[in-house]
Amino acid sequence: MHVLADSDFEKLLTAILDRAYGVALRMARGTEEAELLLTETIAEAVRRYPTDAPGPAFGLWFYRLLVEAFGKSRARRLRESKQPEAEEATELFLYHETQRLGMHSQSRDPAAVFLAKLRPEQIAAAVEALPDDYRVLCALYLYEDLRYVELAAILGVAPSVARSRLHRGRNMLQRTLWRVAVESGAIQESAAGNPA
Amino acid sequence: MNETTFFTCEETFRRMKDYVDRELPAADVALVEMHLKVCGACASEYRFEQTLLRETRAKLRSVPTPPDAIARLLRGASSPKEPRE
Repeated sequence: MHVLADSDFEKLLTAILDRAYGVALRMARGTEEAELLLTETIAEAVRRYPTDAPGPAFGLWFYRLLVEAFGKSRARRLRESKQPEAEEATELFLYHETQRLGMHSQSRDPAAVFLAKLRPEQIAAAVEALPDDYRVLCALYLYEDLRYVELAAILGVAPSVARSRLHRGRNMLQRTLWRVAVESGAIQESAAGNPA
Repeated sequence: MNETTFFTCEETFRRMKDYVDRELPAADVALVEMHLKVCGACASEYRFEQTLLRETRAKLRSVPTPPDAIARLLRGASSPKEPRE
């Protein structure tokens, strides 16, 4: 019997595929590469499902296969020569930048005001601009509400490594979001006290 | 008795992301929450980080998947091909 004839497998796969598509798209940075990555991951899932029997941990198991596929993928090889520079950032980077521009005195919810200036596609682009290790982790974290131990299991690292890498990646993402906002004109950096 | 009964701003700050992620031990959660109740500056930072995370997730998840992509992937899974090199 083909594993796709197993209704449990198909239900589990269908339930996760929409978000996994988003994660794969952020990893691979293009629909063609993302779909190739997912096709390879699904093929591997079909092959290993009967023996691995992931049960209720299907989601973690599937994402582990996705990360493995990404590690071997053409998308990763294509990116190796043009790995983006890490944009290091201090803690609370956006908090301080929005405060500097006077956004905290104009609203009780400056984080929401700031993000309202960005389109979803710009936020996706900011995630995609992160270096590989941070991008994969942040994509998993932002699309799925995973615990540190679950992220660590998917990536095959210690929970403490997943935690510290995630914290650093989120700081980098804040800096990248700020750059995207400034470069797109959503924020006028020079107009301190009078943001766009 | 050496038990901490109140976190400073620095101690709260160092636990902020873990608190936002609901990853702190219960004893630390109580101390962070006690601090946030009395410290407006830390409470403001916490609200900012929490909203930023919630709104970033919501916006990212709202990026639409191409309409036929999921069906195409499921169809492809029914007739798997050799991975491309």
